[in-house]
Amino acid sequence: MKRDLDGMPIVGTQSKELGVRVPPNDHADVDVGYDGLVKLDGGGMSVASHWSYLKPHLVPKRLKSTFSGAAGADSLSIYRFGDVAFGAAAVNEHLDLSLKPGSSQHGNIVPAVSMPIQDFLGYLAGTRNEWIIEEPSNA
Amino acid sequence: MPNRMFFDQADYCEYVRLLARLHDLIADGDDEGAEGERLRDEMDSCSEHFSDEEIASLNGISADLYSFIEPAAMPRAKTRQAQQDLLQAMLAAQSRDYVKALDLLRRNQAMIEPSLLSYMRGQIFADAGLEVLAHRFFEHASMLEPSNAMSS
Repeated sequence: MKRDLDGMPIVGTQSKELGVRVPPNDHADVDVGYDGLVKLDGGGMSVASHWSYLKPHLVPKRLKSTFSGAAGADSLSIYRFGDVAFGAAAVNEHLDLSLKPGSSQHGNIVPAVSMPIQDFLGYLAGTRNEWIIEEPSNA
Repeated sequence: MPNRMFFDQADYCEYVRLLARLHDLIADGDDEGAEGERLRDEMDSCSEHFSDEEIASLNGISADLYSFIEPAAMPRAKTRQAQQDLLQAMLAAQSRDYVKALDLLRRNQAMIEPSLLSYMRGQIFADAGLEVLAHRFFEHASMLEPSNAMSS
């Protein structure tokens, strides 16, 4: 995710921010119904179980010596969410982790129950202090 | 999904094309701007449903693309295992298992003459239908060994 001045992830609705892209963004991460509620169809904020499972464009280039395909912007950092085990389970009382079909290493943080998009964004933003930078050593 | 099928997927091929364009920007030192951000957003979208294996293969291809801007090293002497792997790579490419072929080349790249390595990668991408990327590898092979330049 994009790193803020205090080292924590930037909260927002653009790509690689702590949040989700919402319609009418062409690359929206979630569907929102006419009632303003997030559709519970698996859409959410994309995460992986470990940095080694990230796509090349998400890993900062400065880590190339340990992640040979790294092609991400250097303004990004790799974050770990607390000490929560990776798997289909509750993240907290408002958010769940939903594994992507066919993957055991990639998932989306999704609303635990149907809720307005602004509430979902707020609950994601509320996790900001629980994200810890965890990057491979670049020796 | 078998590896050989990755290159039959439109989204996978689109990601490879975008990755190659991103590497062009990286080579020019221009990838941290708006165009790099736009490309990476497109890569987010087309890769939403990739499997763990597809992502691993794309990380390998991204590493391969760095060969365009990294200095070519003198190859070490080939081991018997490396010779077998090269044969296996050619057989894998013939059977359209391009991911396996690229992976075998990558594992043994320190023992392959750099221009030959780029030529073989170009041939694999050409067979996979990624002509633009193939051309880039052929050009790189020719740059490293001008006597092997192809007429066109």
